[in-house]
Amino acid sequence: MTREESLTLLTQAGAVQSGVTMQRRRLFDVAVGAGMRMLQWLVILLLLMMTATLSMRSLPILRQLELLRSHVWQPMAGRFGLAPFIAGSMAVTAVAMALATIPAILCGVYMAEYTSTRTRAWLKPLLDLLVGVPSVVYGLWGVLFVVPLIRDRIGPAVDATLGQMLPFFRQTNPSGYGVLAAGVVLALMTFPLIVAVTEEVMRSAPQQMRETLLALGATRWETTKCIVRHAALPGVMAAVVLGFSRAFGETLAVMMVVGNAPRAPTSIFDAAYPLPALIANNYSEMMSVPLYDSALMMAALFLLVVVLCFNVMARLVIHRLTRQL
Amino acid sequence: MYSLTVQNLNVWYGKQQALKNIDVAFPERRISAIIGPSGCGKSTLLKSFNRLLELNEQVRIEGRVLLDGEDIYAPGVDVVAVRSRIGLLAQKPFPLPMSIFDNVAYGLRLQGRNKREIAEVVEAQLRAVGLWEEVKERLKAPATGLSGGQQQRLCLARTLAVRPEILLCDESTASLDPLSARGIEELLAALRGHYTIIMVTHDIDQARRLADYVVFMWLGELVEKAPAAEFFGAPRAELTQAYLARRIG
Repeated sequence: MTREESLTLLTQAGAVQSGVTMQRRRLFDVAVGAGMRMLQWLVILLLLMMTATLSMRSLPILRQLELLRSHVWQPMAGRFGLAPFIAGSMAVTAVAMALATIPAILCGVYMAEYTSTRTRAWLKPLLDLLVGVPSVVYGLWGVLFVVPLIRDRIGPAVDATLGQMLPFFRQTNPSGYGVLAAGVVLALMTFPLIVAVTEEVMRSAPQQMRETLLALGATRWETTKCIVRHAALPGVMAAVVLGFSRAFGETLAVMMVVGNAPRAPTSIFDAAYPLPALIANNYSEMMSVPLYDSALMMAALFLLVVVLCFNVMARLVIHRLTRQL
Repeated sequence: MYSLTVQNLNVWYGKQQALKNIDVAFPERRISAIIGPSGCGKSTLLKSFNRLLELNEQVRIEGRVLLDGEDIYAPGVDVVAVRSRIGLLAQKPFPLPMSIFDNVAYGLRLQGRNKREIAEVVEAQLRAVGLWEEVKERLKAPATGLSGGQQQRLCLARTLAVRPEILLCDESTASLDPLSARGIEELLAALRGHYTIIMVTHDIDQARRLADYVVFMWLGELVEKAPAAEFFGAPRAELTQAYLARRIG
């Protein structure tokens, strides 16, 4: 093409379009939009359906609330006290979050702000791998490593020191299977998740913020602290909520190391029986005990509602934090 | 005090050399302009003065940058101390995601000043940049709500609050509307005589209006440096003449 030819091309204003192509493009645009909107509503529908099904199935036991209020779990005797299981779930999750949260946040912050690009290049995939390791592997490792460690070393040591003052730390159960073992395994499972999300959130803080703070004479730690406080906090909160949800709902790994005794734990060494384990262990073996099925559905509903509430609450807090920034 | 001298500075991004043998002494308490087309290394040069350049891990720096006679790249030098003596006004105004007051107070808090002192300095600085009357009623409001020109003035107040000796401006008016840009220019002109100001600009007219001393760069090399009158009146290098006549660049 000569220069003159290319210049004439520039002077031909107005898009050349056939009406048919235009119509087809418009049609396609509408169809894609509608399709994606439908999928979006399906997601919401799924949540509604799950809540509805669980509510309906747990209705029979809700009509006889006094059965639930009992503190013992004796399905054969018609006593379906969920309290020990709720306490078990809470204890296990609390231990896990107490162990994992702060170290995981610090680790994520360190990865984002302190490591070199080269180190991050191999550390990040490793971390993502850890997030994806199947929970049964964590559970097995808990049985093979964490439980003996607690039984032989941590248990006696803690019992001899803290246990003498606080009943909460007394070694009540020599087997090693219990709240602490489950908490440690859950902490290990949630740790990489919180680290990964925290790192992601920190990296997404604008580079100019970093430069501005450093140029003002802030040290590396002061810069990091300011970025966490003023730019990354909502994201870090989201990371913790994600970790909580995973810990609270985790079934298999917990089941393998928690001891599965339907009593409310009074010490971190006690065996416990969290809600997900209860459902998974018993749903296929209910035989025809009346209301058994309904009680388990109630447990599932409770799990769902707690995780939902926690997420909504977190979202509200995050929303407020974001608005303050 | 307030002097900045560059000796034989070479900078590489990976294998690509961005600055070649730069030698220049910036006059104290005057405005120096570094001019040149995009990609000539002027921002790289500016960022080497407060060691922000090394945030980029690919960068290799050789040579010396003397701040009051001491090499800021010498081993054992406290980077934080260097940076608090050299202020930076960036290209795009970047208010920290906090209140107007806290933006100016941030650097002061780092220095451990007490509350009363901080309040005084914040007000004085906001007055100095002509922002006090506009924001005194909403000091607690987020700084991101200010207009672009106001934000840049706030950034200037924040930078000057920590009392640097040198002020670096990286095309600090480039992203502003003409009126706001003029406001920042006037502020910089008023600071002449108090700070050693080194500004990067691709706007020849701005350099003409403001600068006492001009450095012209081309493809990573320093082509010409001279007092402004001499530089604009009788440029020596052919490249400079062509650039000033806007034949290249």
